[in-house]
Amino acid sequence: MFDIAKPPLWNGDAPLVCVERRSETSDSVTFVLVPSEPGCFSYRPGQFVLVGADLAGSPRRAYSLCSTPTRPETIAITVKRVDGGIVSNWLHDHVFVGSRLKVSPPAGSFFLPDETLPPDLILISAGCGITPVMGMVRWLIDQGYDGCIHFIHRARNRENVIFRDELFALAARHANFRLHAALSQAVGRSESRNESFVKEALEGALSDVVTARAFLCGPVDYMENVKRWLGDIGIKPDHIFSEAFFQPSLPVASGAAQAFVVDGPAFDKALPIQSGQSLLDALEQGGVPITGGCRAGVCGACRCRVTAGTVAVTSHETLSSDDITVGYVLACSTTATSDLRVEFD
Amino acid sequence: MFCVQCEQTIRAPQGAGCSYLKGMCGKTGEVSDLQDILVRMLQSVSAYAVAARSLGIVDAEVDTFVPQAFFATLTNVNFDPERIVDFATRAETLRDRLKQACLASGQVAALPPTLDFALPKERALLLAAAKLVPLNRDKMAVDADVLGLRLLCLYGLKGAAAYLEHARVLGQRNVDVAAQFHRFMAYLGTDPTDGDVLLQCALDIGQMNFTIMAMLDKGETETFGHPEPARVNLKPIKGKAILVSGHDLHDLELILQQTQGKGINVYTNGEMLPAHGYPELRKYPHLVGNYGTAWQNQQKEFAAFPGAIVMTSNCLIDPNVGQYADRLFTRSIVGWPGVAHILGNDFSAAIEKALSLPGFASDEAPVFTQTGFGRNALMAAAPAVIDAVKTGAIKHFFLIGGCDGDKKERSYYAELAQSVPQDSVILTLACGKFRFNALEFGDIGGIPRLLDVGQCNDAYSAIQLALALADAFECGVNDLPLSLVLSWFEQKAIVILLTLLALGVKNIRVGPTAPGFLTPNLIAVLNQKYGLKLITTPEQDLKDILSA
Repeated sequence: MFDIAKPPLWNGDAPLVCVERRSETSDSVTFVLVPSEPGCFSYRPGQFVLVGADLAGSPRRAYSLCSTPTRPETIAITVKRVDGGIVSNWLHDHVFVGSRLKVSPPAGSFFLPDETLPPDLILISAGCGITPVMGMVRWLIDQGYDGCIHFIHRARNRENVIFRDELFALAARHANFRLHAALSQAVGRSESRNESFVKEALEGALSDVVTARAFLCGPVDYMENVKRWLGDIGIKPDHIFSEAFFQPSLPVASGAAQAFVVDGPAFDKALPIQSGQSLLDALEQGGVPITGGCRAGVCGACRCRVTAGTVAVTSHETLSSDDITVGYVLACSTTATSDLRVEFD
Repeated sequence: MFCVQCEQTIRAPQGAGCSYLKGMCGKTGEVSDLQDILVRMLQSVSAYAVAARSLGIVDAEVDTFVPQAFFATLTNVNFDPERIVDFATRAETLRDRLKQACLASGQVAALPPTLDFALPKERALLLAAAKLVPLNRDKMAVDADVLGLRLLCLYGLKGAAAYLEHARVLGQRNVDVAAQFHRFMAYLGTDPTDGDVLLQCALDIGQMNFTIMAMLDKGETETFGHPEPARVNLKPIKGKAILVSGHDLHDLELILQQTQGKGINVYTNGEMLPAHGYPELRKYPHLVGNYGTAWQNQQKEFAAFPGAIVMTSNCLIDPNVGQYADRLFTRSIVGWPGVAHILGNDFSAAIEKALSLPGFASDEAPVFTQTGFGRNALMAAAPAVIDAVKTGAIKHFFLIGGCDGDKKERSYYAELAQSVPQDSVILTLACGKFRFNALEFGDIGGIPRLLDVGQCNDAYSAIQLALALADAFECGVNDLPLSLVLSWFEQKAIVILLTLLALGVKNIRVGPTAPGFLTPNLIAVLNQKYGLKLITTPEQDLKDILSA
């Protein structure tokens, strides 16, 4: 058959063009993007891109990819219009088929690992946190994953479940896709009642709780709750991976930096780290002993382990997939997206 | 891991060199360590080769093998740990063979244990042994300047080894050069500490390399004819395609012969562009042009190339980034884990791959450059050039060339080429030419203002022209209105610099940075003795050159 020469990998230089715009719910839209020059995408399911709005101050916002890298010709993001949100509103009002966007290459350490997956994968999301786990689901289906996908989602109500039809279709078509509950905050049901309902259902459905892995995405307080009851049913803490979604009122703008804090066993005191500042930079400024070699994500000198918090990563050179799973990063190629805890070898 | 041999090496406050998990070139710490073991073993082989020669024993296989295996450790050549282990194992067998012969004579003693070591069979033990052989192993005991000079010699010798191997492929051998090579290799294996002797050794290596470049020139011109000025299309045409990169003209000829009548167009890449000047290669109509630019752009350019690619020597970088590893083939000392390697002279695997791929869908509008200004062509033009200098039509010559690379500071070379006065002529060579060879430079009385002399080793032709002009004007080479502004990246460039210094050429400018293995003292010494300087800005350097 034809051995079609693959187009080159898109490296973030060329702008992306919107080729499709789809309404998912009344306030969320999926944008399907392709490179403006021949190119294809390479990333891990669950990663995100930074999308720039053409406004004063060039504000940027992180959006998880809901597409799967098994279909590398396009990527897709789903954006919820947020009250007062600068970038989400700009995207909804200005990006249509043919529009061009400035987008960063895919990054992030929240993704399905390379190695053999366990027989149970638990994907839990709330609101627009569904986007990265949807990318993961699409990838798993394309790959013919033969374990069980336990998909748990919380939304305001049925109408606000993004990808609702697709989720129901998957549940109908694939015996190994369990849509445990698209939890609704329907009138009359309390949060805790919903929680116990799901917890019981999941407990009964897991074939091997010891190896099961969970991927969580949503607001921080929601995830803290989920981690707690996952622990209750026996999921090991180091098998739970999460990505916190920014509160809509704090977009990642290049002008307005967010400040986080990084600390760890080797630290005298907690250090400040600005969003966009490399971890290496922050550690060096704080006098923490770390070796900077090439400072370009190649040589591996600055490897360290992020044991708590979330980061954005632009290079994995010299790190094995086991390293990455337990939180190793190259400090020169890592920025903070929350407070962090860091340890050294 | 410790390697400081290329222009891209890490420069950190704590020192220069790649010494963590991976080099900037992409070689892993493991490969770097194995290469250090290989180098140590080769020094051991050479030590016994020198001793054997004193007994009248000359082993042609050893004379071939040592430079070849040494070439495998040049930047961007071989990233495959298994291949390096194979080279080291073969080196050990040859060493033991020589050692037997020497010890049997009763007149030669065994080497000290640090040189006369056995390779552990288990990989874990082999890598542990690597900890004992990094090139800066005695850095605590030795002056940094001495270490720097040792590396200047070793890396220069590596460049010479590469040219010696290229010459051998074209049937050129010289027993005296072989003997001299072993002497240098063996000497460096003794970890010398005398700075003056080391500096002289570096120049002697440069002098030996002048002979080697002459051998290579002879091999090329005897096999393929003398290069003639030729126009080369830099854009592709419709049809199936195969791309040949590296430096090996012999491989290109084999590919041209084996693709005849198959409907495949053959393109050169990078340092292979000068191939278009050789009559015996040019005669193939299906050698249609050059594709791509210098080595550092290959990951994008090869990814977009809709055919098979053959890499015959340096520079190779990670083919997995552009996802073309499955249509790439390596040759000779080149290797990347998982990439198909062609041994012998049968290129069918690459040809079948090219036939299975779509090729270019249509012709692109052509853009031409000129190449082929080798020494014959330059000598033939010399009377006209000499006239033009005498009448003042040509006031100055620049040699702007050398290796290209990634760093944005290298835009200097394009800016300089475009800023030189209209009454100057630019000689260029090696892949640095791609910074400006698609631009129009015009001509002076029919003499093109941009003369592509050829590959990096064709610096030999440029030197011959300089000597001819010096003769005609009855002056020294340094009195000519000739300025050398060179770019470097790897060890062939280092040995060419040593050759130029050995020939007494002064006031050479190099960039974009100084070699990481030269200490500030050494740079000062080279500046003092030879006027060697680093580039600054095109404006300043041009001003200094023209007012000198």
